[in-house]
Amino acid sequence: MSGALEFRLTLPLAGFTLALEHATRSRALGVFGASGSGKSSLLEALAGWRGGVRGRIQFDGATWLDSERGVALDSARRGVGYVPQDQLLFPHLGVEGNLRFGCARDEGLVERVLRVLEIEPLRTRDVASLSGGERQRVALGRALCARPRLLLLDEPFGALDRPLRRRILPYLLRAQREFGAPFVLVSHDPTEIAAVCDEVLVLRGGCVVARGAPAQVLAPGGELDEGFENVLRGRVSAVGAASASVDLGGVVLEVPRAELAPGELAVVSVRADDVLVARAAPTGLSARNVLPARVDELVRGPAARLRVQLGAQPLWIELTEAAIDELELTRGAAVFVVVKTRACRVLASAGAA
Amino acid sequence: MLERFLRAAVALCLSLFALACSSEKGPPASVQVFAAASLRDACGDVAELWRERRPEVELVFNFGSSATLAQQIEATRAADLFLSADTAQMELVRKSGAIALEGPARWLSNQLVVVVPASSSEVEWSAPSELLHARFPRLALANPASVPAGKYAKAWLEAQGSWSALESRVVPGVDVRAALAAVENAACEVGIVYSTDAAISQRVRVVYRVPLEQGPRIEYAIAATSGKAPAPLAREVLEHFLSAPARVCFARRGFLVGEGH
Amino acid sequence: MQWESVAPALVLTLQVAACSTALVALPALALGRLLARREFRGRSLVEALAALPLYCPPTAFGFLLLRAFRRDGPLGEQALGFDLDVLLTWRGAVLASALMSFPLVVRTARVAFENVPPRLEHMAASLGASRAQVLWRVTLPLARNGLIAALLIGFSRALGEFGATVIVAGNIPGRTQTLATGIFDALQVGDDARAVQLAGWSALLGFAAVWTSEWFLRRSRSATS
Repeated sequence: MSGALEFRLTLPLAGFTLALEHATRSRALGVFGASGSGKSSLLEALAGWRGGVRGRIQFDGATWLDSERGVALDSARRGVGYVPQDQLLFPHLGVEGNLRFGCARDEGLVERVLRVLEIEPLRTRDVASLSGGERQRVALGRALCARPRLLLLDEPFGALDRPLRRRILPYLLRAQREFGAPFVLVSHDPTEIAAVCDEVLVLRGGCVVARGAPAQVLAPGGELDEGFENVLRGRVSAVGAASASVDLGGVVLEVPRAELAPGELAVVSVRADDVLVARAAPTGLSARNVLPARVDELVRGPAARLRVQLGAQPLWIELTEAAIDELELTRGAAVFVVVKTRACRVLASAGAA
Repeated sequence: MLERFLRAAVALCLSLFALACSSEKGPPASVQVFAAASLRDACGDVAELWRERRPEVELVFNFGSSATLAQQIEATRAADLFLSADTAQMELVRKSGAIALEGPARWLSNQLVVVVPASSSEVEWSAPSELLHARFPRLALANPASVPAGKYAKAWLEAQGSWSALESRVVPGVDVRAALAAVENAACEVGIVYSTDAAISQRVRVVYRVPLEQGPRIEYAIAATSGKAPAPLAREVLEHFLSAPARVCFARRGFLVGEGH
Repeated sequence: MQWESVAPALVLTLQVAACSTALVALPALALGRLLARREFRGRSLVEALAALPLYCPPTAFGFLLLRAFRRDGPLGEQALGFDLDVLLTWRGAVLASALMSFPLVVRTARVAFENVPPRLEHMAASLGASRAQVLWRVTLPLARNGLIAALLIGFSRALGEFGATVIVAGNIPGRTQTLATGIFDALQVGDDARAVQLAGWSALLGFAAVWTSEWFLRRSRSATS
């Protein structure tokens, strides 16, 4: 299964026309944009829930839509697992009934889904009695049980408050790893996209305004107004009493322990305004992370920031223009980056490979 | 759970329906008798006699105005016996080819009477001209256009010369018993029905009996018609209605048996 | 109360109403589903025709049926070669009641189907369910209470049917006399006592049927939230 998704489609919506074109082989494609930018409509078009879509959609060699040749597969035949924003759980079937809806006899699959998403204890519950996070997991589980070839997730974190959102992230990563289907994820939260996806499309007014790796595309200043969070990935090299060491590719970051185990893949976020920069390695600091880095990019102005290369990954740092001048920072300069352990947040860990 | 119950209920309904449809396919142990409304009570008596003799064959009665019954017979051939209050309706049935066996002419006759509600303070009249009085704004008749009782009444009034004056006061009933009920309920101040009808009701009083020479010739007719029951059985029922004990029943109710005038 | 004078009419009324409901169930529910979901040409025409028995006098329909099933009519013995035996029988009463209750069942069923969110049906389809499976596993269970209410409403209407019934089935005691036609007959012969009893039973049955249907309607409204 190559998982190649290609589409070129137009869909008239209220107010504007969605006109998108993309081809990707990535395992996780993110779709980012403000509300009303057409993200959900794109998913519905891919899922086959929308009439009025014109163009071509091809997945894994199969043609799902070809307006010129009059091909339009209905959603059942596309093998798409769509998890909409409102989950759409069947109210008259319990959790187990919902999970089993799309898979008649595959007991093993159902058990695996229950385990991976940790919804075993919810098995006999009524849909109406579930919390927001539980509903999300059940909806995801239901889609997975139907053995989808492509998963479409519309704001899987959307209905939840921040702490809860971060709890869903690991399940998503686990699902990605355990069940293998590539997915397209829609979110208005750049951190979540950065944590999960290898490629992102940025939509505005129904058009793609940027595409690429999250670190490149989702940079501070552009689409964002909140404090930017850097998302870093690495492998856990050691684990201590209260902290863990994450190897970012040559540079080791001390992060809170947070149930990490050695050998795991960890996804960590660091806020851009939580990082200090020094020209010389400072000593006597409480911060455990004093890491050498090289300045790659410098942006002046009211939202002054710089991007350094930390190991193999970019790190954005917000600071004042005055500081840039004072430290005489230029492109290519060698600096030290200071980050408190507690300022690093472990978003998720994906179990040992 | 509820789903299973419902499925069972639906299945049950459908099978009941199917069963009911098939249940009438057996040999008809019933004979359908279509009889004029005025014969209602007398037929009940005759049916009693029949039940004593032949309890296994059920007599099913359909009462109504002879006009309606004749139309029903024409449309459906559902009757095995037809008892009509006049010969005109029997003629209609004969024309449609439904008659299997004709009964005797002048089988039964009746007398017209003028009735008022029992609560009214009227005393017996000496002359029918009282009808024309203004204190009787509404006159209850069986529909004079088609129902025998109404036609007889109209014929009598025409002979009296008072029809044109009274025509606009007529409240037509679907049959003679409806006209009787209208007077019973005092919906109409006066009505013209058969004497046999007045006899069964406690809520009307007779104020004038139309003398037989004055009124029109009232002639009931009876015949076996081709319906669902086997012809010999229908014939047997016909003979029962013509038998001496049956005649006694009719006479006891006030009918004039075997006479016209 | 004289049970013998009331029982035949009561039993027949229940039988006729039950058979009438069974007869209209499938076509009325199917039409309700069609009108709830699909847009198609001629839809308003179909809706208007289906609603006709609500607005036309029942006697008009009785007349129509009479013309159709008479011996010389298009569905009569002469045209078909055999006797359907509908007129003046309980089957005629069932047909008349079925016709008159049809639009009510359609209407209520349609609302029940409209209350099932179409996106839930899309979801079922994208999980691999065929059209028939979507109907059986999602639509019908969710619409179930409303559909039961629809059938009960049809049943209530059939209980009280008079105008068409009296023309098509006549008023033969023990054979085609229902509570409704029985009241009429009792009035005609001045048997007020019987009329009161029959009317009492009619009211009781009608009330029970409508009350139960309202209960199901309430449940259906709260179920699809």
